[in-house]
Amino acid sequence: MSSPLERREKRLLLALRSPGVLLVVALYLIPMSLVVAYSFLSPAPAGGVRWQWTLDSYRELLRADERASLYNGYVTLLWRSVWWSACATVVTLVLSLPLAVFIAGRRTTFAKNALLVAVVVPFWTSMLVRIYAVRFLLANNGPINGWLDLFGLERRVFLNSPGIVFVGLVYTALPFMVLPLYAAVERVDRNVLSAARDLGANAVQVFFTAFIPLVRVGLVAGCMLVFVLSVSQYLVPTLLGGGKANMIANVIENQFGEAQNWPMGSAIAVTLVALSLMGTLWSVRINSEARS
Amino acid sequence: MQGLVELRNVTKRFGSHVVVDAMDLRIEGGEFLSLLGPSGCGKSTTLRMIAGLEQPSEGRLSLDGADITDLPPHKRAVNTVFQSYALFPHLSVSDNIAYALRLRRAGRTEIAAQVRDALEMVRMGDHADYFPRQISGGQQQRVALARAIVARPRVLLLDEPLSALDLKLRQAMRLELKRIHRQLGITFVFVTHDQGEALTMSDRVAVMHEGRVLQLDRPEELYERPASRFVASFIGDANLLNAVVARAEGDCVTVKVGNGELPAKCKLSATTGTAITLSVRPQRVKLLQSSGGAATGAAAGPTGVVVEMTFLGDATSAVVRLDGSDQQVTAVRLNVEGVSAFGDLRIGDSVQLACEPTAVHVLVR
Amino acid sequence: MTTARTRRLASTWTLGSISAVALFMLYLPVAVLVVFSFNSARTGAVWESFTLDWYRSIPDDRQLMRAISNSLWIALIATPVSTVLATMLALGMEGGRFRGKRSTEQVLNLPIVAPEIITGVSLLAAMSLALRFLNDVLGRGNADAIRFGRPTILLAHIAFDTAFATLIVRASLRNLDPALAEASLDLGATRWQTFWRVILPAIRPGVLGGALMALTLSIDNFVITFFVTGPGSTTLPIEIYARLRRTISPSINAVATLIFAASIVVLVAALFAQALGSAKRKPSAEAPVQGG
Repeated sequence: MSSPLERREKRLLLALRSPGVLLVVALYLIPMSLVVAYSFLSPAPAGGVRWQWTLDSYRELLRADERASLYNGYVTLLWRSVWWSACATVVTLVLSLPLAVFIAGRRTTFAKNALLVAVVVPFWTSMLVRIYAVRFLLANNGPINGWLDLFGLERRVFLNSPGIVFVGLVYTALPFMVLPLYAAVERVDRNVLSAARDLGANAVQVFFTAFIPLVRVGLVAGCMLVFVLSVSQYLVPTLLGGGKANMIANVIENQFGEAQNWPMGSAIAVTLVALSLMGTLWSVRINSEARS
Repeated sequence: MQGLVELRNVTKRFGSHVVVDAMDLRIEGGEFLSLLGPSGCGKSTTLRMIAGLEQPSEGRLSLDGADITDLPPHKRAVNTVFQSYALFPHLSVSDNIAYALRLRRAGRTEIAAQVRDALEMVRMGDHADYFPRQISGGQQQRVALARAIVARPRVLLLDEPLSALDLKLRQAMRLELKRIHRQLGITFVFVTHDQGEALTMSDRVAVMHEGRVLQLDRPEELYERPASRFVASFIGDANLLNAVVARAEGDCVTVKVGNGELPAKCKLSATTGTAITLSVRPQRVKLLQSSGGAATGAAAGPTGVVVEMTFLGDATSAVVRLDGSDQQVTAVRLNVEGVSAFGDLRIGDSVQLACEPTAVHVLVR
Repeated sequence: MTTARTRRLASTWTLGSISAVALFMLYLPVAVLVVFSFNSARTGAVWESFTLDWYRSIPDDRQLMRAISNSLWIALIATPVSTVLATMLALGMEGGRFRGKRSTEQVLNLPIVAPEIITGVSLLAAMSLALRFLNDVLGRGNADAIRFGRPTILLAHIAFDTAFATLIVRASLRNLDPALAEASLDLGATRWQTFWRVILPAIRPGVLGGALMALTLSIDNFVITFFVTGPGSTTLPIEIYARLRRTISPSINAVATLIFAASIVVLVAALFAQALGSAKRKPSAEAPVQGG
């Protein structure tokens, strides 16, 4: 049906995108499908799998394990990761929203851009360096404890506790929340808020009935981003929790590493993806409702 | 004789949507032809097919007798002035214009001379070193024109080039385009939705609607003798009235409108009782003040009541609702020294319509 | 009047102070780290005196230097390769509609949305399978087997670099007036000439931004690299991580500071490239720059 010229054009575009698409298929789609397949296989003794189909890994995953194992049972650990991530998302949101509104409220482009760059710098710098910086600051022999000494206060142990892992989650996630929020707040038409005010709404009513619906898409996007980032965090629990506050990613790493149980690791990985996907789907649903 | 550009049975579909429908078009060498129609009528797509930026789903195109249907755009001796001008932002005005010449590996001195000529032609000689972002929209327009004509294409295509300009510039550019067309002597194909542009500049105008050419004619013909209701309403203002043929005598018919009758010249053989549409320009409607009793005559015009009078500056318009029908007729008169040419006509007055037979056109419904 | 003004002032102050707290929290750890990288004391608890010793000791640390050279080797190959792939991919994706565009988009989204830990273990699983197969085919035994190392890291980096750089190049392509390319073709340029003479100059800021993004991601990446690394191919983040697990030596502070500084340099370059791009696109009626 199509003319020779159109066919040539289509072939050219196909040739242009093929290498990139094939690369992503080979290094993402196929490996991830492999992990899904592995989760239904039996472990080989020294890492790897035996091609024997079984649901053992998932059964093990769901068993409420009372053995004094490293992780206190997978269900507990999964639940803890999700719960912490959800809480970290809310705290991050509470801190980020005023910041986003404040930036959007600046009159000069210079002030806006300067503040935005301030948020982008941590977003852009190595997560490892940033988490290390927190660890350095709060170390037993670190500056904070040094300052406590100066004031004659008693030194405290901050690291290797669930609390500091939680702080770390918020700390790493903050820039990821501010940027989409700012984009949403920036688009809000101030006249709409004034109109709501004019129609007799008080500040709280304006916030919940006009402002929040208007920024909902960006807000949900930011929350989803932060939740997925947090729930799959590896560096924060490892470097700040010191093995005392492990999350899902630590178990996956452990199963693929020391424990040499790849099917188990795969099953947990699949569960993690399912959890992230639930977050994504939830946000897509909320946002499509907002649009309709 | 062969046209310079010929489209034979050209159809363009986007998915299942037919944009250009089995179109035949013959563009003569050296003419200024406009494709006129509302947005979405397929005029831009037709232009893009001639340029080679879009391929027809069916049909063939030829340029100078040679089939160009499968020729890529860069091998066609056809250049385009785009609606957004599409000047290359990273190149200066002169580099933009030299673009086509450099691709042809023309000599340095030759390029310089031709660029200078093209700049002179569009009167931008002193802007050669500016960048597109540093000049105004009207100036960008001229540069886009110079860039498209510098390589002397056989056909210059212009895709609504004036639509982004303000009214005054637009009118100035009409004259400029006309002058450049005369100077170059090449064929211009001009796409527009503005009937004023099409009528003032073109040798011929093709009125398009829903992917088809409804009428292709000289501007005067289009204006005076629209072939269809759509053309009549799209070109200039026209009163379109439902009427019935009362008597047919040779090339003259008498039609019944409202409660009266009007004479009309008509080439079509219409038989008594045929329902037709009349087209009358507002300037050619006469209003006779009917003081009480209606005037009588062989063909007494329909009567009506003035429902609206509007001062338009250089003219005044009056809207008349015909008695015994819900149709309205608009009449326009030039004002004389600021005084309404309708005299002391007021809203609510009864009037009788009259027209010259040559002013009334019969459109078969 | 006055109450409205006071109220607005008060809300600005509240927003401002929460924003200040958020930004302070964001920057405090890194700022302290930078300062203490010049501290002559071995611990962070006390400030002794200013010194550059920790920086001076870096070139003598052979293990660290090897990690830096590994990181640079990988980044300097991955960045150009992925920038070219990303530009091709962007052209192929933005060039027009084609069948299967939606599913292609979804595949290309995988690297963006997949948690790093998932990508890491997937690549570990897939690459060990592929390497085993490769060694079998080539008949290589234990002694000369192809193992995880720089090639596997490079492959993984090219994949995620390409995916992220594509996002940026596509954004700049979408901002481009499609009539520019058409005008070039119309004036007699082939597709190849059109790319080099019109499209590339116009999207150069996007391509440059994509390249800098790829460079940063490559230098900073820890989690994915961690799973596909092998003996002798330790990258800088992995070396730092390994040292953190042992003990905190002040030389790490110096290295971390350098990484942070490098990120900022790259970020400034990226912002500069973007500003250059938007300045070019912005129409202005100001006094012209002759011959510029």
